[in-house]
This record gives sequence, structure tokens and C-alpha cells, in this order.
Amino acid sequence: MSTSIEPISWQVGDELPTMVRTPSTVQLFRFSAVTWNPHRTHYDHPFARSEGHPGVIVHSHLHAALALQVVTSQLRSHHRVAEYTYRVVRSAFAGHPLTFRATVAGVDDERVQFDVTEHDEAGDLCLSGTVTVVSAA
Amino acid sequence: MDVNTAEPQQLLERYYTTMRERLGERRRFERGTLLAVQIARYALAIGDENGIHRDRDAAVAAGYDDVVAPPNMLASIWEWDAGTPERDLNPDGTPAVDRGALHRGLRGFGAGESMQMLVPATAGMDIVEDEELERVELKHGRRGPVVFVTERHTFSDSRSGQVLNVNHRTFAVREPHEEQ
Repeated sequence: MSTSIEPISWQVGDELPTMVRTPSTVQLFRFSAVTWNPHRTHYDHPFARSEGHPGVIVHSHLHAALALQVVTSQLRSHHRVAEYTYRVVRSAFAGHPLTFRATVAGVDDERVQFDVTEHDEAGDLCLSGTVTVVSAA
Repeated sequence: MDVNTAEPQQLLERYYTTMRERLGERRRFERGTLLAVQIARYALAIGDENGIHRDRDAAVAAGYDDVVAPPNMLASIWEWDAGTPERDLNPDGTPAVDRGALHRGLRGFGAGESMQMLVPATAGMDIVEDEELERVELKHGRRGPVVFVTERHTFSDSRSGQVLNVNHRTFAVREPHEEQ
């Protein structure tokens, strides 16, 4: 079936446009600043390397915020996100592209559920989750 | 236990035991008024250019009272007040206060969340956060033991009394070792 939270008509199996983002060190710094997150692994390259990482690490909440946008970028003003569940299963690093995909997993008269994924440039899964969208009315 | 000389395994065991003893612990934090500039900066940092996060007129036209926070913004903020002085940070930069002191010598990272967004958070709301430590589990993976800690965070607007979102947040703590 298709959903009635028009004007967008979504059907199970529909894929949203793929989104590619490459978090920069500036973006990680700004995310640390705006969330007042002092963890050095997100902005201190020598420290991150001392922990065995190839570079500064993308925050788990930034993973989540980026993945959510593959859905929210396609919404209309009368839609809103009602539920979001995700797991970060692999680290990602500044300067490396991340690819985000969303597929319609379920629809009914009141909501649409999307499966979302984030993969790194090697094709390894970094995040998987589900996003539920409802009418804001 | 002297955290400077203790083995990582001892620190993880202590962390697990202490956190288990605290299961069910509840805390309330008055987070203050959510500012439009906070929202706009967060949206900029995550690369979300939707006008509803920075332009009041656009937000009102979309049906909100004021600029609206991206859905996971409240859950993402680590420290809401002035923050922890540098002298009170762990060597990795994390605050060494309260439960954070137990992280010293260990590694913690966000593992995932489950959020219900009931009411969009908009500028001008007075945010209150209720936290409950709801699960502490020790698991053994291929990289060794990991403690998974889940907290429930409930964000409300104290002016209206409305619950904005409920967030079950899991983070993992393990012994330090080289990444694979």
C-alpha cells in the first residue's frame, strides 16, 4: 500500500536519493563546539593516532545527524520525525566520504518507516537504523 | 584503586560493578532556555540548511512557534552549562566528574540510541532533562569485554510541561587497545 501522508507518495521498497557527505575536520570541530563535547579523539589528530585511529573520529551523534538527513531532506513542512533508532557499528574518520541510503520499509495511513544505512568508502557498514515519519498536523 | 597503576581489566571491572550498583539512579537537570542561535549553529554544524532551523519566518510558515531544533539536537549536547574546567578532564578530554571519573584509563564511545520525538523543540523553550540509568551489561566480543550502559533521557519544556522527546542512549566502555 502507499501512505496517505501526502503530497509525497511512498511505497514499500522505494529508495530515497543517495546522499554522500565527507565530514571535514572543521565540521568535527564545530560539532564538538556546538555540543560542548571536549573528547580529544574528535579534534586532536596526534591523540587520535595514539589511540590507533587513522584520524579524528566522527562523533556518534554526528553519524546519527547525517544519516537522519537522508530522510529529512526529502520531507515536506507538514512531516516530522517521530522515532529514530540507530546503532553505530563502525568508526568513521574526517576526510573520508560516507554514503547514506534510505529505503521505505513500511507505510500505513499515519506513518512511514525508513531503513537507513551509512557506509564508508570501503563499503563497510558504519550505521544502521530506522526512521519513522508522521504528519505534523 | 589507583587508576594510574591499575590494569585496564581491573578498571573495567570496577566500572561495571560501580555502574551496576547505580542502576535505577535518577537525576534531573535544568538545562535553561533553548536559544535560536544554538539551534542555528547546530544545524550549520551538521550541514542541515533547512530554513526552519535558522529563520523564524520560515519556521512559522511551516507551523512552528519559532526556529525548530533538528530532531536529535537535544540528545547530542554533552554539556549544557559552562562545562568542566580543563583541570577536571580525563587525559582523553572527557569530563572526570561524577560517573565520568570512572572512565579514566578506559575508552567510551556512543553505540546507538532509540528516540521518540513527541513535540518538536523550538527556541524559547525551557529545557529540563530527566535521566535514569536503566541498563548495564557486560558482554564479551571479539575485541574483549565491553560494558554497555543505557540511560533514558527525557527532555521536557518546563513552561508548558510537555515532554519533547524520550531517548534511550547506549554507550560502550572497554579497555584501550589498537583499532583493527
